[in-house]
Amino acid sequence: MRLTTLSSVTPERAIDDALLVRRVAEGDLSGLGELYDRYAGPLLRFAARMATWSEAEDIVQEVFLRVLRLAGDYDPGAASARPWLYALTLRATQEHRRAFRRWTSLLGRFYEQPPRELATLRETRPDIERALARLSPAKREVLLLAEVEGFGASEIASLLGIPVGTVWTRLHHARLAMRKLLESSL
Amino acid sequence: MRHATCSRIWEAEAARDGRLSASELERFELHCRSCAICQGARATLRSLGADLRAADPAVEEIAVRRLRYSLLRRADAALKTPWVARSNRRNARVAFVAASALLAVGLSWRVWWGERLAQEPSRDPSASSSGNAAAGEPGYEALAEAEPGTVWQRRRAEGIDEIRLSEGALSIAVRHAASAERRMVVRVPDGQVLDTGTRFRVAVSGGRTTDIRVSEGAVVFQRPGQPDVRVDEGSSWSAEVGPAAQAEPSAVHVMEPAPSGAAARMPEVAHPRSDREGKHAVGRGTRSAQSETDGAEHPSAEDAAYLRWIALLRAGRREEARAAGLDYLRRFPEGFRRGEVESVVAPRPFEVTSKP
Repeated sequence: MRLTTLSSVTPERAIDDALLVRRVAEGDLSGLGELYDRYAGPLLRFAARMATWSEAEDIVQEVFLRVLRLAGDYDPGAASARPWLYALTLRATQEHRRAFRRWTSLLGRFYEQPPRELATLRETRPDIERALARLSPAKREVLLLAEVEGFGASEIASLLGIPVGTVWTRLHHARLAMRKLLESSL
Repeated sequence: MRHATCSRIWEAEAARDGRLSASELERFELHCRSCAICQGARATLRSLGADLRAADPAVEEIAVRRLRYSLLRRADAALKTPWVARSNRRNARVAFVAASALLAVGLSWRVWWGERLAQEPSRDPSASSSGNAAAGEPGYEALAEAEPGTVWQRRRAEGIDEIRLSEGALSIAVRHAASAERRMVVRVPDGQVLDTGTRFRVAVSGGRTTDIRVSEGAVVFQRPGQPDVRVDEGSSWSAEVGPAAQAEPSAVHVMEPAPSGAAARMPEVAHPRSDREGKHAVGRGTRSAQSETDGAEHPSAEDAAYLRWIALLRAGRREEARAAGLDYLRRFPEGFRRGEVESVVAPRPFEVTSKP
């Protein structure tokens, strides 16, 4: 069962992560650099799928600055820093999205036109990415976390703070929506 | 025409999402061996996952490195001011009052010192675009005035007031007591200028130091592989590319023997010259490049400028590469690859070019 095993980590990596975060909490920036080297690539990819590439850079930078602030609250017994970092990325992405909505709403009011959908502001992408961009953020989150990042349903539930049943429901509807969007683009 | 279906098709998705127990999964696997519909459903789910993973946004290493640099710089700045976040309201009020007092003293000093500089006949007030004063340390005061188009930065740390001048000209006035700890150093692309308590002007053009004029005190110009040059009060030093340049008697002293070939590589013209002579040659812009680069260019623009420079270097288009390098330095004075670009652009300045 891929979804429940991919996100597992080796004990060595977990210890390393805990040590790195502790170093960051003590103000050691080299720890932050190592944590960045370890996770920045995957987080950038994830954020770029959730938003645009340029937004992803801002989001990931914000995530690691939050790590600096929140390192003291990190649970040293956690299996890995990965779920924690993804949770921070999700939160930063959601905040970014809210800010973006406010901005487009302001623009819309200014021009007395309804704000455009996020998807229509994106550059033209291949079908799969376009379909992904047209999903609601809630569906997109669970689909990416499950299918691309390999988190299990219970981990996703914990990351998003929602029941596992809701994760399954969203996953189901996300897949249905993707299939419809992909079929309509043919 | 109805599509054929199977009552267990929902288990394909349930199996993928980990909703089935081990025994249920095993039974479904057995079922799939004889059910083409459920096999197809599983394949469709797998292919959606594979397609999503394949549509991988390309993460460029260059962007990751730039982001890393920017992150660590911001994190460093954040760590240096934790007291702001932790201080209570009372401490904040005390800090505010102290800062206001310091600001008032600093402004008074700035006005007083600015008036002194304005009385200097060599200075062209209309050309000055920005000033940057350092004060508040016993026995040490310094003011740097940049001419339009000048690219420069200033940093004060560990007893050194360091100015990095990449392009343009700066007029600098330093006053310090003999006992003062702090010293001024001007880093230029091809070396550094050390002050010994003085007023002077340094000009850099095209990645090399072109002119040093001292109106008070003295400076020492140091370059790698070249003899140190001391420029005394009322004197100047200038570099002219060309084999015909001759040295004249002056107050400019070569402080150590020149290595063989050094003179041929870098003809110097040193002659006493009053600062009252002429206008400064440097200054092409209408506003300071330092403030210009404060504008928010997207970080990827830095990557693009850097890659353009690299591409020109690799293509052997040296002059264009040099211009691109200087353009990078001008636009991104705090750039991630500044050191690398400087190290390539800067060593070339004193090559001899033959005149027709």
